[in-house]
Amino acid sequence: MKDSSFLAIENLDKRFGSLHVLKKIALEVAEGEILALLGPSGSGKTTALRLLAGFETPDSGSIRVGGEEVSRLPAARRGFGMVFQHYALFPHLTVGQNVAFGLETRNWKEAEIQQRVAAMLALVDLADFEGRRLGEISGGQQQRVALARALAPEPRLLLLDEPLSNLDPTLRERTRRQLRQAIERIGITTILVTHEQEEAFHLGDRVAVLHGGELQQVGRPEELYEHPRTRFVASFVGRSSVVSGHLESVDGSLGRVAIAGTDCIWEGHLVEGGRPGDEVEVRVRPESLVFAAEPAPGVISAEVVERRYGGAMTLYFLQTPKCEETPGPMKLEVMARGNAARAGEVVGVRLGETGPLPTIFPIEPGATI
Amino acid sequence: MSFRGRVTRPRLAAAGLALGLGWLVGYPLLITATEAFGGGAPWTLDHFKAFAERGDEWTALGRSLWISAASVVLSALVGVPLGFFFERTEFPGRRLLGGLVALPVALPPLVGVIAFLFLYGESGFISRAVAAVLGLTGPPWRLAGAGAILLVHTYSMYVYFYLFTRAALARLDGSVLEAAANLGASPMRILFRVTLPLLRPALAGAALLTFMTSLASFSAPYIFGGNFRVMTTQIVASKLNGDLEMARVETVMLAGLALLALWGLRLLDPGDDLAATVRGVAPSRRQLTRPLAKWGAAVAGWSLSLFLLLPHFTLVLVSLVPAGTWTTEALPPVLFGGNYSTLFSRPESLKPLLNSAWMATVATLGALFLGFLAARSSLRVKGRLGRLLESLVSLPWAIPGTVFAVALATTFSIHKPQAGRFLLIGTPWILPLAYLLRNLPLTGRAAFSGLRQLDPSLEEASASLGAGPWRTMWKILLPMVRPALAAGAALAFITALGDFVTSIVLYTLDTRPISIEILASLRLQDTGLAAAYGVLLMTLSASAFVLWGRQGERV
Repeated sequence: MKDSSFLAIENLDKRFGSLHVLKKIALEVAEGEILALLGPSGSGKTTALRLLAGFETPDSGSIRVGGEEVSRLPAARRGFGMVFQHYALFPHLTVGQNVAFGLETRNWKEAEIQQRVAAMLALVDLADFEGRRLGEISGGQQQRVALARALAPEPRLLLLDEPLSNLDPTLRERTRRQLRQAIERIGITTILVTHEQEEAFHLGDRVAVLHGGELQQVGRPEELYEHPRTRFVASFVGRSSVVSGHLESVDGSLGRVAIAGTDCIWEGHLVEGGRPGDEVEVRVRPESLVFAAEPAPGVISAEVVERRYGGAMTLYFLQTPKCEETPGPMKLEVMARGNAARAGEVVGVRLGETGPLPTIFPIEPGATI
Repeated sequence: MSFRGRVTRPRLAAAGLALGLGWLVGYPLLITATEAFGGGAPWTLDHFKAFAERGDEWTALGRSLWISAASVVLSALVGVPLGFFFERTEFPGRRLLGGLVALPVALPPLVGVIAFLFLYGESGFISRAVAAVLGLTGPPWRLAGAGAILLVHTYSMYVYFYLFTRAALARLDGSVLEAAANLGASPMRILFRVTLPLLRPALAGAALLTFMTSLASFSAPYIFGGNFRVMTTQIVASKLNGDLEMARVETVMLAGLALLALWGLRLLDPGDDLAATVRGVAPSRRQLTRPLAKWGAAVAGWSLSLFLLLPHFTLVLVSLVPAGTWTTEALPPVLFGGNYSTLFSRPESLKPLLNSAWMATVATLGALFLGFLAARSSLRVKGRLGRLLESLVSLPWAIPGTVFAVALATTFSIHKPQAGRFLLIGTPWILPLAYLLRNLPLTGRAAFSGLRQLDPSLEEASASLGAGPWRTMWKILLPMVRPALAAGAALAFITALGDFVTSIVLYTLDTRPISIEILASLRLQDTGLAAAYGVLLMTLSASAFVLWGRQGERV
């Protein structure tokens, strides 16, 4: 049976001088699971990974792997594999020698090393590359050598630091698929650090969002997207429009909001509860809004100020006329087909039936939308 | 193992290393300075007063300064245009000639000086040829005094300006020059308003190197100076005359002057302010398409290279002349290889070769070990302790060799273990120690730059693959910094092999190195043997450079 808390991080805390980069992080990762740490620059995700790898020592907290406390163990004795952002391949060694490095360190027998190197290179589709020098292979191939090197010594945990950030978009897509397949084939528990949502969603079974050193939310990609628990997650993960209103009624975790300056009543998830009459902010995804054919109750009239064509779907930026009930014009983003509206056109918009429900946050005192 | 323990161990090791380096590098200078003030028994300014009252001391100090300043100007006037010519113009043979033009830097100072003597001296080839052409009965000029010193300095030091200019031009962002042209600037305006200002850091670096080398120069002033004394020759003269107090005061004054010059010249260096934020592509070379210009440039390049290689050829020719066979003829009447067989067959001639070889080897290995250890330690602990280690490694570079030699002679001439002083003068170990300390900046700077260029994640990658600190050092760091270390070691080895300035102060009969034997052969009028030693040094130096180049290509 798989251990549901194979990796257990408790109250992990780290400061660099006066900078508090990681604040009491707690996480559990199941055996064989891929967890993506997602966050903007300076969120603490790289520090978290370096603490896991053993390149930094935590000020407090613990890291347990398979029940063993490792936070004070030197990196060399943790038995984790790591793929670095710039790969950190040893330029004076061949592809095969790079992959064999960790095995020689562990005193594997020569025959076993050869066998393992060949198997690992085959795993990453580089079977004939053993004798090549690093200068002779492409960036994508180097990335796969780095993966083979990290996996060769049969690590307990695989750490990936922005593993695809050095690749061009086309190669990134292909390598991401290969990376996911290789990890799944081995079934190794993996922690991935990235600042790209697409990468986190594609590779991670679950995603942990970090901001300002704090863990904002951990969950499956669809949970994060459809049920963000904090304002930061709602704004960092995917696009959304923010409108204000007040709660009409509350039904468990659902609330109905009267949108300011309109006759619309929108239903959405209440993130932090609330009582009827409370002022709230509502975040709605672009695909949850649809164009309405003609004016009707619940339809907001707005002008298309920008149209960002994206192939199958186009993102429309709309703006309502200024009214007394809102401090400024309402700005909405709508995802629709490419020819749904033209820039400068005045259109009707309403909440659709198929997209994710909006998310309702209490308005912070003094905040304006 | 606790977190605290892991942090303090490298710091403790670094502190121990700093103490050791402080004792080796800083302590002798401190001892010399205190002894110049009477060494506390009692403290006195008498020696400094005596210095101040002697006009010849001030003259020597002034000469050291103006000779150094003039060397900078003359070297820049030769080196900078040459750098532009070889970096910005494409012509047949450019790559080969570009390398040959840098050759004077591979000539050990004393060897360069005697090559000039054989070439432009009163009985040198050029002097004889000019006298013959003009029908003169005596030599057309005397190779002596300030002019001779400046000639040798310019010949050996323009290479700094040449190499620095070429490197800076190769790094220049071509689009900056194109932007200037696009804004309507003429080629001359681009040169003076854009290119040269952008080269300022490189030129300041070359000026600093030239000034410091010139201030520390000993061979040229010693051989050509005669009564024209500069501070380095003044110090050695005082020491040889047994006036140790005065030698120490002169040493302190020269060290002070060197540090002051270093500080002053550093102020001129704009540092990284001029570094482009976005690195572009170097401007393309001017292709000479008209045959006349193309071949004219090639002929000029070849002629220049031949002219610069004349001292090397001369040395080889003179080394083939049997003693006493060349008197008034324009060219030597007899050539033979006897000087070389004498070199290797006569035990007393072979001894200096063996001495120099083992002392340079030991010193280079020691400097390599200490330099690498200091660099690794400094970069690991960082902070003040890290900076202290880096300063200690670099300090001998700022101090003229004569100063260092006198400081070592002062410190290690008595046995006082409780004061950290041991009797090394007169033993075979003082010269290797002196060579080691003098060359520590070469190996140390090489190790610093090699380690700094490494991606820190390589070390982390090695650790994540289970390698401990020693395995990481042996399998990853050392192989990767090997080209840098090889470069530093090659320079350190040839510098130690050809050293004259510290050797003349510290050698004994048993440890006399090649340079001292060259001088002795010259005094005995055995120019062929002196030249043979010179050729040998030159060949070994060139081999060290080739080895350096090959090591650099491997990774």
